[in-house]
Amino acid sequence: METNNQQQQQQGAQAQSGPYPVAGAGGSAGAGAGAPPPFQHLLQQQQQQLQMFWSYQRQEIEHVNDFKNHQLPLARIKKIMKADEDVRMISAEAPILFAKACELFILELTIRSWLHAEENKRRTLQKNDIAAAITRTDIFDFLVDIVPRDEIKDDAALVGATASGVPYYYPPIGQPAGMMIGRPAVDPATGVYVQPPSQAWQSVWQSAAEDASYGTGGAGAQRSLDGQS
Amino acid sequence: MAGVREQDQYMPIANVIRIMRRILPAHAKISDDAKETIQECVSEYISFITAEANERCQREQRKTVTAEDVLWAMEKLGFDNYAHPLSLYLHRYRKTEGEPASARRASASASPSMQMHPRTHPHSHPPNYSHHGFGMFDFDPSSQGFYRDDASSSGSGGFVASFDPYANIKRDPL
Repeated sequence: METNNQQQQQQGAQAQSGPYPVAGAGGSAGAGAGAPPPFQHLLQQQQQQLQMFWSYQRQEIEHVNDFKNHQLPLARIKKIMKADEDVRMISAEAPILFAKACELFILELTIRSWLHAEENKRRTLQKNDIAAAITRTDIFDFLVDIVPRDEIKDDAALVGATASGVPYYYPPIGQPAGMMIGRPAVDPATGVYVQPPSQAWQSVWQSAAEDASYGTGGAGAQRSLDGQS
Repeated sequence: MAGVREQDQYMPIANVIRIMRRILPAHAKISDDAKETIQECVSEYISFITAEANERCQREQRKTVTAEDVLWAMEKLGFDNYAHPLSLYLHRYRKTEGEPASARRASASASPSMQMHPRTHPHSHPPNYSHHGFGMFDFDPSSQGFYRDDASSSGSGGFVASFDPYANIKRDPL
């Protein structure tokens, strides 16, 4: 843990000197009146990536044909559901639905965690990346007890602007300058998805499409995200 | 025995890692504690949604937690992004499974159907509308058609405008 923290702090220092410098660190500490422009840009990029993720998931589900080969075992899902003593009977469709729901959950949590690892110029997904994703996403509030507090503090330490004030990377929802991170939705004004600037994401979607073909028996594999308007 | 029982609390880690890798770039590595943390999060997610679904079930004096209860719970707890594609997934599953699904629906006749989407096109139905009308799961076919068209044209703004995404969100102030 000691070594891990030191390594993270070093990487954090590198990150701060990278493409996302902390502007006006002293002035904006604890105020939350206005997020620094670099973070807003970062937020917009991340929102775009998450919107693409959900759009892709919807398209994939529209083409799924194989409902018998689940990525997660139904018996295990049912056992976890039954761990609640109040639960009496479970219809056969509920674990099937949960198998897909948990896939989406793992994918969303992983991509949000990876975005944090990328911010810190790391290639290894770590527990504190998951902790950061949980603290930034309000629908994941129910998970805060799973990650220890010190993991969350590591996240705060990486950003000079907020280190002195609050433990969270971004202002909590409800503040005037806060942004709704937990529920990425399509902006009705635009209604159009644009390609993210990073080329790495195109390879990610392509590999996801290839994996999807394996998981769905080839259905929908030929659809290319580049074809989206 | 204790070890076996403890393992049963989580999804198999190989399955979890396989799903994670679908969204990560090829050069990404996953630390062991990250793998275990995701495992714990998935179980917590199932328990969290199930508890909410079961509460609704009991409130309506039913004994069986249905897929509709799960979808309802997701929307109530803010997982709108999940509830919409999963509603479509459930619909396609029932259509694909055919007769066994009908039998399953018959056994769940006591469960009232839940409107998942507002009827934005009440007078226009897809050509195969009659195939959807088995009664128990009152999935609005026009919503499905609208949803599908929306996705293919990438003009999702229209779909979003047809409902309030935060209407059923249960807000817990931080």
